[in-house]
Amino acid sequence: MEGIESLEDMRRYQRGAGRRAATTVAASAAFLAALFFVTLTIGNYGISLGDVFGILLGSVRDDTAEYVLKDVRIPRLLCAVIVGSALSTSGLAMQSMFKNPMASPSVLGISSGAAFGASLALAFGAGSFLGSFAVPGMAFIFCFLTMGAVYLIAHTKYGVASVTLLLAGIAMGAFFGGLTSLMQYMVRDDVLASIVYWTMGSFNNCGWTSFKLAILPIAAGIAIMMLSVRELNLISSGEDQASNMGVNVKRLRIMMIVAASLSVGGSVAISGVIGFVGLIVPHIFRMIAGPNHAVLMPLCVFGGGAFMLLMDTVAKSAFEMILPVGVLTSLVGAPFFIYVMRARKKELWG
Amino acid sequence: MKLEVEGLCFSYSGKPVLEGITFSAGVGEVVGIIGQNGCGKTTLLSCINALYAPSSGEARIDGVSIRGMPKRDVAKKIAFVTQSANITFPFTVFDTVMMGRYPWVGFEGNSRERDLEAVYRAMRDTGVLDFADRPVNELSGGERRRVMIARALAQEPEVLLLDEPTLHLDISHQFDLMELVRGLAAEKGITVLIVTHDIVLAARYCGRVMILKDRGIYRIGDTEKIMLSDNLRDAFFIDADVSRDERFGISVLIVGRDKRGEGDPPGGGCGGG
Repeated sequence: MEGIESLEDMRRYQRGAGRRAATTVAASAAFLAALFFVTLTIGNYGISLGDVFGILLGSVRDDTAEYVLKDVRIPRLLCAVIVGSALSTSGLAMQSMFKNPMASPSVLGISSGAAFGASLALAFGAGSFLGSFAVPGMAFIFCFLTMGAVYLIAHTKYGVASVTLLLAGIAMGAFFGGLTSLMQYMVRDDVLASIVYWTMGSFNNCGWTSFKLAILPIAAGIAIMMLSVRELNLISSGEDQASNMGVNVKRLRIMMIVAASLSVGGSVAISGVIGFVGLIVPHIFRMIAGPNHAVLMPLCVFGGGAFMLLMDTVAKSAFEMILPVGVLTSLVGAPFFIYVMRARKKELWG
Repeated sequence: MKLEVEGLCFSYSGKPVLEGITFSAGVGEVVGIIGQNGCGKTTLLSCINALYAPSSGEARIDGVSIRGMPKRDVAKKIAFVTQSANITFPFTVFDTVMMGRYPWVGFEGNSRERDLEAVYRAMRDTGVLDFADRPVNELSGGERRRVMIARALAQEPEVLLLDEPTLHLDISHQFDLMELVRGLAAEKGITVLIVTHDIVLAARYCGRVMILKDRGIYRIGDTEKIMLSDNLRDAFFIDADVSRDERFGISVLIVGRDKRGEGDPPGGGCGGG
């Protein structure tokens, strides 16, 4: 810093940093909004950007286009946005809570747990007491159980060891993956198809019903995480240190597990397991904006949504066939995972 | 008395580490805590700070017991600078010190302006203003230690607990840091407890010294009455010459391993540390 000497200098510094952060967040929100409208034009049925606005404002009459736009594309893209936001913010919260740059819902096996819960509901009607929320409800419950289990396995009185954490996640992921495969052997063909859909991760079946199902748990989860940004800052520098500065670590831990389970559960319930988004997005924004969660969390909400929109659009229109988006994020994400592992070796094993 | 510890006992999974620790420290006092590895020095700080719950006994500040006090209230009174400052994510120095304001957020009478003032003072007093916008992980060991103390000062504590503050610092920075701590105690009236392995520095900078041995307080008192060859031999099995230097005060010269202790395994260590 070019010389902070007086309190006034520091006030100026703080204001400058605040302004930069606000600009970055606003830019990400604007980017998401612009991208949303652009991606509305992409698909088999051609609708120009002008027509998109025309139809939305009621000045253009085209029944087919209106149907495609309002009942197919808008809900699908909204689903992509909220799922992207949910996975990114959950990934961020996990990375900070576990003090581990490799943590994310899919790496820690949490998405697999949720997919198993959702499959249980689909195949055997488990969780019917939850009414129309049976699938996201079961996804949530299994998210919570898996995350709690991974945490308990990896946690010792000396903190969470990175290697144990990742291994615990792999083990839980494999376990629930195995159970889901087992179920695939046992069920009827039509149920099998929907379970396979779930394990691959896709927005192809997402309409308004899906959106309405997922928005509540996801919004609640993100809200909890947004309200905990200060605590996340503190806990990302160590549980003991956070506790020394007055954070109720136990309560925060439970709140974050609940919040991430709500978000991931809601996401998995409508789109299945979409891997690596929760790993990649927080990293990209941490590189851009630094580790302060007051900035990172909103960036992950907007940027995560934008990332998922982009991925989904590429998956559905860039190739001869419509790919499930989960396949694409895995193809992009696995190399990224390796990059993080090599570039951030010191943090990971340190 | 600012800080009182009475009959404090603590055990790790059934194994007693501390038994019947009783002492007190006044406003602006610097108390050094020395003793062999694993004698429970860090554990004692953790118990005072309510990070660990003692199995019996308690710590009090201004007569109020820490036990059962909400975490944030404890953090307003006691700041603890731990040994390890391993940093996973590269927060700036400013953001790091600002974290120390956490216990005061939303507290009546606190404001963003007060937070900023407290952070400014803490950074000025520890001399870290210059690197406000540098990431903490890019600092040298001595700079980082000062940032951690700045963060503790931003809590505006009445009691400051330091665990091995001079570890891994070169000799010149060790002296700087101890001068800083002694100055803070004197100017701000903060009660400071320092756990250290450095007998020389403890002798020079602490008003009082406590020697921990066999799970209890072996000796406590004014530094010149405690830093005696006999006490050091009993506590550490070393031969030390203690003299008084006119310019600097008490001077401890560690000559070597005490020969009389031979055959007798030095220790009594009990894990941890």
